[in-house]
Amino acid sequence: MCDQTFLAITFGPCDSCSENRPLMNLYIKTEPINYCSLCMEIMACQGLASGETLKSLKAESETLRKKLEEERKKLHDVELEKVAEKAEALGELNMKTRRTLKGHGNKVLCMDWCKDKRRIVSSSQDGKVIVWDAFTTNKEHAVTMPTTWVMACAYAPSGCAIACGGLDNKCSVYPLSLDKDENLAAKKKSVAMHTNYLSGCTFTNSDMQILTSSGDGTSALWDVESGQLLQSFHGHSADVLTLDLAPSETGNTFVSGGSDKKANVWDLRSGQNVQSFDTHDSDINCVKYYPSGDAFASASDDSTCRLFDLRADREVSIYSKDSIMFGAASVDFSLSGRLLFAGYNDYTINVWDVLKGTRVAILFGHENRVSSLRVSPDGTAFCSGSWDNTLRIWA
Amino acid sequence: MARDMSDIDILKMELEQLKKEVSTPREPVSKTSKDTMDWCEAASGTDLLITGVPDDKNPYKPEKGGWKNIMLYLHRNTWQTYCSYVSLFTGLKRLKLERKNRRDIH
Repeated sequence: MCDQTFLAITFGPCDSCSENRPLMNLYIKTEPINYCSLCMEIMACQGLASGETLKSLKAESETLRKKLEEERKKLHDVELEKVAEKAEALGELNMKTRRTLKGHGNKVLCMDWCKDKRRIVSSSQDGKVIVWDAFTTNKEHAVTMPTTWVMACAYAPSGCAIACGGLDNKCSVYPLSLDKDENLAAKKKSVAMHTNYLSGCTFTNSDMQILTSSGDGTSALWDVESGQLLQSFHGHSADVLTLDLAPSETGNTFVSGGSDKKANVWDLRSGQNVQSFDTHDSDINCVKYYPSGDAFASASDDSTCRLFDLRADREVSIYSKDSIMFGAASVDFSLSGRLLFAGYNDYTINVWDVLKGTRVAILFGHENRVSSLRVSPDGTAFCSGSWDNTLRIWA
Repeated sequence: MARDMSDIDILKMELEQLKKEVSTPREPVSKTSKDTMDWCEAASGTDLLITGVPDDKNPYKPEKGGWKNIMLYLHRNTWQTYCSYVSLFTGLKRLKLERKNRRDIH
């Protein structure tokens, strides 16, 4: 009687499937491991190495991360600010709101310029997508999407179509016609299908392909005519919030930023994640390539914007101030890359000197968060869209 | 996709990625920063937001609805309308004279 041992059933979270189940206590190399019986079966079938557990994987990734840090540190021989001391100081910037585009009924979430440097497409929370003429502030086209929160919109390079999407999980392309009375919604084409909200979309160099990013953690490249998926990009461990395509001279890559605080650089053709940067402390809301294509900037909820150099594979500059406590929602570079415009959740736009790392100006005017910001293709002005239902053009 | 993955799968994915990244070629920051700065200086001549654009060339500078600019717009417009009326009038007068001359000849 005394030598009868009873197996005490422990109940708790399993190490591998994290569900509350009755656990079987194992000892592998004196390390106590708790797996539920289901996982034991699965492990046996999959032929997982007996040593592979969450802990060992974590340990391995830690050592690799440290090694990566060391490699990167070796090349960090000088700060960008030091090199930039030789650069000329910028003169006084005299920028004001030149046009206010009013007409949206709710928060403006996204905007894009047309290559003709004159037209702007903007989308808002109430489902309306409007095409404006920036010089005259006239509305040229208006489309009502069947969904609210249209978080992404883009103008085609030819200027003949717009793409937009949001909570409907897909990206729709509307061809624009010269006839104002024509019902644009009738010609709509659904291109992308994701399993969660669409956070960003952009046309590649032609009207035929669209790159989208989604809350389901993936980005994808689609063919517009057939709606087929050409390539998908997996690598983020949380929602992908933003993406930007490299400027055409430098090749087929794009950068995406997500809620997992990482910014990843991808190769369009192979679908591979080429580089990854994770120095931000919070969600990355916007990423933009430097005009030369060798660097990119990111704006994050941790109230900083950072510049990452792709060839040196590290962060080279942080644009932050103690007085800025609100997250940055959007960034863009001026044509030469000397100025970085960033829109913040404290209703302001800060203009940073990219090389010296200092703030050059603060622009006030919006009455709510600045949600998106883009410089015009010829660099004469930039437009900012805000949660106060308006867009402002600054020059 | 990322939301459906279990923690182990996410970790495995990250591990694969790190293994790839450790071996990417890198250049020292001194070289890349200098290249960035040189590119920037070379392009700064074309950056209109820094150099500024003269008011008559900038499509945004005449602020719509600015009181000074409304007066300027009206002033410019009235002069233009006047000139065009004058030229129209003189043109018509010349036409009349020509027709009269032709009739007289015939």
